[in-house]
Amino acid sequence: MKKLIVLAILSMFISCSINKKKAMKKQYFKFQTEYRQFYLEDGKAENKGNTTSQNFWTEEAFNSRMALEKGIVGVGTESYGNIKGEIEILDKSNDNIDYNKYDHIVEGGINIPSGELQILNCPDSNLELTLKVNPGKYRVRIYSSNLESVKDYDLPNDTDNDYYRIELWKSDDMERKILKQFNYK
Amino acid sequence: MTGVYAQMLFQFLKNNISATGILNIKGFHFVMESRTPSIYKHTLNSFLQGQPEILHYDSDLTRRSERRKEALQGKDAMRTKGVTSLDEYPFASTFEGGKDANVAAVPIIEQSYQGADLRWNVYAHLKSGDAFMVLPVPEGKEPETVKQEALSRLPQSAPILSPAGSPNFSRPAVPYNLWPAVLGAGVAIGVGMYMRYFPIP
Repeated sequence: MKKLIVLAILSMFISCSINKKKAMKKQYFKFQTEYRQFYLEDGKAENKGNTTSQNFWTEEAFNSRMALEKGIVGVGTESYGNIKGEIEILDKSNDNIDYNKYDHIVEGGINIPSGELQILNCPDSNLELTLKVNPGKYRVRIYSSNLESVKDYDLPNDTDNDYYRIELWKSDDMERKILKQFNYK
Repeated sequence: MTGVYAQMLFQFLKNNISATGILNIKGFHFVMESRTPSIYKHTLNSFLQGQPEILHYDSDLTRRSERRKEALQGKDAMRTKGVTSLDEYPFASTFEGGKDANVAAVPIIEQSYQGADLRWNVYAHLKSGDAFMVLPVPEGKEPETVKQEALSRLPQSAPILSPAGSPNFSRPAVPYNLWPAVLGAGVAIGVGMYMRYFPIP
C-alpha cells in the first residue's frame, strides 16, 4: 500500500513536470507584410533603436535575412505578401536541429526589458502578435522553410508557402550567426 | 462603390486641405542617393515622366496588393532573380500607385532599406489619406535643405474664393459701443422731421 502511495505521488510530480514543458509559449501567426520583411520588437518605444539606422539593413543583414538593432529584429522573408509562421519561447536552445527541414537558419539577439515582445508588419507597423515574456536578453533563431515555393518574390501569390519558425531563449549572446545559408539555384 | 470613393475623397479633402486652401503635407520621404542610389535615380526619372512628388498613404492592404499587381504585370523579365527587385513609383501603398506607375529593377537591399525607412519615418506618423512628399536627396546635400527648397516651390497662399464685392459680416460697419448713439441720433432726426412736417396743433 505504501508503495502504491509513493508511486501515486511520484506520478503526480512527473505529470506536473510534463505539463510545465507543455506550458511553453508557442503561437502561430499569419499576416500580410511588404518589402519582404517583418519585425520582432520590444513593446516600449524607449527600448528600441531605429530601423533606418546604418546598422540595420546592412549587406550582412540582408544576406543573413536578419537585421539587428537595439530592441528590434528585422526578419527577411522570401515572399512579398502573406507570411505564415510560429513563435515559441524555449527554456534553453534547441540543439537538435534538422538541417534538411529548413532552407535557411539564422540567429541573433534581442533585449526585451519591457517583457512584451511584439510582431509588426512592414511598412505600416501593424501589430500582428504580442507575447508576454520574462524581461531580459534573448537569443532569437529563425528557421525559414519552403523558400523555393515562392516563384515571384515581388508579388504576393497564392502558391507562396514559405514558413518561418521563430525560437527564443534567454541568452546574453547578441551576435548574428548563420547556421544554414539559402542560395538561389 | 462610388459612395465609398466619394467618402474617401471627402475624407481626403477634409484631412489634407487647410482652411486657407493650402495642401497639408503630413510627412516627407527622403530618398537618399547615398543609401539607395538606384531608387534615387528611379524616383528622379519618374518625376521627369510626370509622376507626382506628393503622394497619399493608403493603409488598405488589399487595395495596395492589387495596385502592385497592376503596376508590375508583365514586367518580371526586367528582374535578375536574387539580385534585383521591381520598384514602382508612385508606391502601391499610395492612392496614386497602380497600373500607370513607373517600374524599374533595383537592388533588393535598397528595397529592404526603403521599406524600413518608409515604415519608421513616414507611415508611422500618417493616417490613411494623408499627404506626404517624396524628396530625392543628392549625395552631399542635407535632407532639411532639400525639404526647404521643395516647400518654397509650393504655393504659399491660396486665392480668396469668396465672390468679389460680397459683404463681410464678420465685423459690423459701426462698432457695438456706438450703436446707442447712432440709434439715439436716428430717433432724434425722426422726431425732428415729424415735428416739422406734422406739427402738433
